[in-house]
Amino acid sequence: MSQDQTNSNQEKKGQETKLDQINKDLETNKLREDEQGKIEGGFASGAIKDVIEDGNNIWCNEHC
Amino acid sequence: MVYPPFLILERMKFSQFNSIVFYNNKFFIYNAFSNNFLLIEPLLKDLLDAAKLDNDAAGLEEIHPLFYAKLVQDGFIVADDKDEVQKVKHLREQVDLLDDQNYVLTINPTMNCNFSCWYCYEDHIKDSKMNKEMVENVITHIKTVHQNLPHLKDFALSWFGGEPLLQYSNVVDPVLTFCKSYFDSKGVNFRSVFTTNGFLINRKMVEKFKETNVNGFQITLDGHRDMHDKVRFVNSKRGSYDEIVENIMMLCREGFDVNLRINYTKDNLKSATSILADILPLEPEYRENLEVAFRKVWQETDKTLGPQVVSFAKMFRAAGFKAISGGSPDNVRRSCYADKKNHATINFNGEVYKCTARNFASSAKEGDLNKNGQVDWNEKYHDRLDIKFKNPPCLVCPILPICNGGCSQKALENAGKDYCVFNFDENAKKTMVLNKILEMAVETA
Repeated sequence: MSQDQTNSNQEKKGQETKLDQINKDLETNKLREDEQGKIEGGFASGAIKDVIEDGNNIWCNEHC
Repeated sequence: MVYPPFLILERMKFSQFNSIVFYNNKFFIYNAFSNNFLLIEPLLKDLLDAAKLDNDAAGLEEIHPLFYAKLVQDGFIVADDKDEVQKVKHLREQVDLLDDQNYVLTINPTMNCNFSCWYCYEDHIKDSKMNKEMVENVITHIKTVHQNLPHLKDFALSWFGGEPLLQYSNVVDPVLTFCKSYFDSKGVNFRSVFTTNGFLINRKMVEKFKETNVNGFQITLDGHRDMHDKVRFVNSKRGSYDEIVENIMMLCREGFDVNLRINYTKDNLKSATSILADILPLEPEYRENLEVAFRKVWQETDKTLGPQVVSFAKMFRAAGFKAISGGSPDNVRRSCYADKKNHATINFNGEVYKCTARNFASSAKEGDLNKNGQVDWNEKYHDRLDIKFKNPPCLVCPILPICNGGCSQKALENAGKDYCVFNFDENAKKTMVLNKILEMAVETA
């Protein structure tokens, strides 16, 4: 397997734990109309998770 | 799904902090205050648009009760009497002004450097170094900070410069030794990080770093070997790339976090693939110790490099490294140290600053360290702490809770005029939001 293929597979695996899950949630919560004419489904939710631990933002994002 | 009861009698409105961005024939709706997002079908986007046009958020409840409930639960629809800007101001106060558990001290042991990068904004001062008396003043300052902050839990010491390791023996080693012993005896968490070019690091230093709670390094490469060595070189025959990459991998293997900053221009960006090839020998178990951060050199004017940077960041991630492409501000919750009350940057000569991303000219100092270990702040310091929320366009902006007009330095440099760090380009803001959702670690909720 080439390095490119390895990278591609790892990337796919990584994505499945994040946005792919939300896409799957949307697949299982399809937009539909109930008997009273009200709409159901059509959305899936997520939240941005902090990737920086508290107090660790000690490097400037500017041009230092 | 179980939803909490809502204040049905309360009049509701759409949050001013919602952004809607197109993605793969669907839409993301993102709220910059709650940090929640929904992936929605186009029909729901049409429903949202219609309800917004009619200023009838609650009308959605009749058509799609669960969607409405989720919008309320996740902060996309809020009570009409909520002053949302006030909530952001309150959050900023908590983070920047009222936090008495954290202190960040930045020390520049010297303004000298062993390299002379073409893009550096600093004036290097060849013979500059912190003398013994100033080192004592710094140590007194550290004790004073601890005495004045009875709730202090975390003390972070950040080494900057110039190249801080040029003054390892005279300044870095004695201050680290003091801090480790002092804070251990006081029950305060102590850690230290370096912004260094990484060339001078040796085994002996590494052993001392491990003993004194050093936990992180930011080290920069200026492209792959040939390009980097044209910027950072010892002499015409000797560059620095190989030694620096070797030191980066040694630090990762020793358990330190390394932030590998790749300073890119349109000319050196593509060479990132070769940098990746050079660090791939790092064993997989150590790769998560390395975070790659792409930062555009500030003189580079090409604004079309973003997508390439995102794809390079993905490439590093796919190989098991952390990687960020630099397009994801979080300037309120994760504000810059310079925005915070409990931070100081002490220069080698005792002049005190906040921002480390500008030249350390005496005319820009915000205070002086006195012999009692206290900082005599001047009006520039107070202006800095008071500058937020003064820019009218920010107060009506959907991304205020994550952008807030940039850092305090940016706000000070634009004081008195309307400005926008995205140049008032709503599409640029939406692109940033989309990248944030796609790139940041995402939780399903």
